[in-house]
Amino acid sequence: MANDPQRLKALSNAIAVVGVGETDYASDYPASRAGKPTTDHIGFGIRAFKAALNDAGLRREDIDGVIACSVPLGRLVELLGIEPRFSASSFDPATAYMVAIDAIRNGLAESIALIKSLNYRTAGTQFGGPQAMGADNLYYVYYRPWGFTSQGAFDSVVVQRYIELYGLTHRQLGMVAVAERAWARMNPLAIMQRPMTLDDYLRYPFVAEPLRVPDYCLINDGGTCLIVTSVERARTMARHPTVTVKGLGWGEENAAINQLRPKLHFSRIQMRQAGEQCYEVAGIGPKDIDGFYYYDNFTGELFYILENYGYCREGEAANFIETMGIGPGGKFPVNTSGGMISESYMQGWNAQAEMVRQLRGDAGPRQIPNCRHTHYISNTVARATSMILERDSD
Amino acid sequence: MSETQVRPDPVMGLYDAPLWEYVKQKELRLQRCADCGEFRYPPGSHCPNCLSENFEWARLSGRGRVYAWCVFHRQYFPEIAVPNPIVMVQTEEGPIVAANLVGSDPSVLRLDLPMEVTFEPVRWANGKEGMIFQWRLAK
Repeated sequence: MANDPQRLKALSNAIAVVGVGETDYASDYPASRAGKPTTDHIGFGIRAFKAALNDAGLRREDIDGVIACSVPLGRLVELLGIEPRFSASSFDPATAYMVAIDAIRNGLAESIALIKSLNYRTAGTQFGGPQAMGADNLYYVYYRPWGFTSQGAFDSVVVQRYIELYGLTHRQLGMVAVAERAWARMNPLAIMQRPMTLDDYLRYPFVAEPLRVPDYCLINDGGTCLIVTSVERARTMARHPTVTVKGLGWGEENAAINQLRPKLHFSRIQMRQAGEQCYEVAGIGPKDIDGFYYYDNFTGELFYILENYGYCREGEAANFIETMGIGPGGKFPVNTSGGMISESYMQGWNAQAEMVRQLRGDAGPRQIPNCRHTHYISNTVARATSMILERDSD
Repeated sequence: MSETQVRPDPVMGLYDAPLWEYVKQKELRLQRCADCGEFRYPPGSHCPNCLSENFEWARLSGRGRVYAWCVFHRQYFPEIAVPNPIVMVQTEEGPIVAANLVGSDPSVLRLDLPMEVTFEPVRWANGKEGMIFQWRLAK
């Protein structure tokens, strides 16, 4: 079925983010590492919820919808002490926004708390090795007779192929981790505060070559909450500049995913689909974007992501990044909170909070000048999602 | 090699056992749809091309070309030493099949380098004896 642009357009500017809350990733990290977390995953979610309520200037009774992401919905809502008119479970931000848009537009709820929380550090969640989680993807465990497990390794083969085809150097690869670390050092919530130069980066050992330790995301505990409502209602609240969900896009490529085939083609089909849809819904494109955010479980993806979403041509991303600059002071700011590799592994949700802060003009020393539009993308083995957030014009 | 290498057990779903039985006989065979001829790997219930459940275990030539690789420097499995090179080979028949690179240093790897399958004795972590298939440079 071909998509229907007119119907898709109705996604644009249907909801706004009016509240943002996060737990203190940096101060909670040592406790979780020591096996004595300051709370559990339900607790992190509720802490983030309280912070988001406070940010929005809303009372708990104002929230009539809950979307739980990674955290068990029933127990969460029980301890939140509310009886929502609508609730659902989701995972990634784009999907949660889509569910929230449906619920709000159809009158199922007025103000929805999107709550993401997890305790992977305390739970010792394993992404590789004998206890690797199976999830939905067979390849997470299928290649274990050869020792080929862990999402980092599945990305490393793709990055190696990119290196061979396009001449990316290890030093250029390191630009991403170095830039995100520099942003993190301007963010008190960020876990990784130690300075890192390119030479420092190159001294780190490989985990799965060509990816090194700083190319890998953190594993930590925490929570992020966004409160969304209709754009009309948000505009009457007047506590913060209104930040709307302007564009959403989705693309899939599932053929031979367990041979990693889409990844080994740099996920070009799924990402281009997601990008085209997102730009069509938003009515704007790469030239209008002031801040760029991506799901940085591993840094190497950024290169082909920028190519697939039309920021530069195929094979030219390293040059684009070098020329523009993606760190503080650069012309193309990327993951300005430090991302998941240096701030917090909230699986894309810390990026949502940061985008809202940037769009409101509340990002302090790391504020992007005149930040009007941000673009967030997430890419899994078979699925790409893309979204654009917008600050209302004054 | 005096002692048989130990390896984590393969995934054993309903469709997996024949592949490993053939590997024990030093044959690399993958599922091929008996109706439309499409290969599928890892093994599974239906042909994604025509949704047929009919299949045969078709013997591969055992040759292919390097498509991608990585080298583990961090040890994830106690029984698998590092550095541990993984090479993903596009077989002549089409499927991309991952295994270890054996017999050469990974610094020789280049895209499209011709490779061939080889078989090594193995003791699975569950105690059973078997064979594992690996990739080496084509002779």
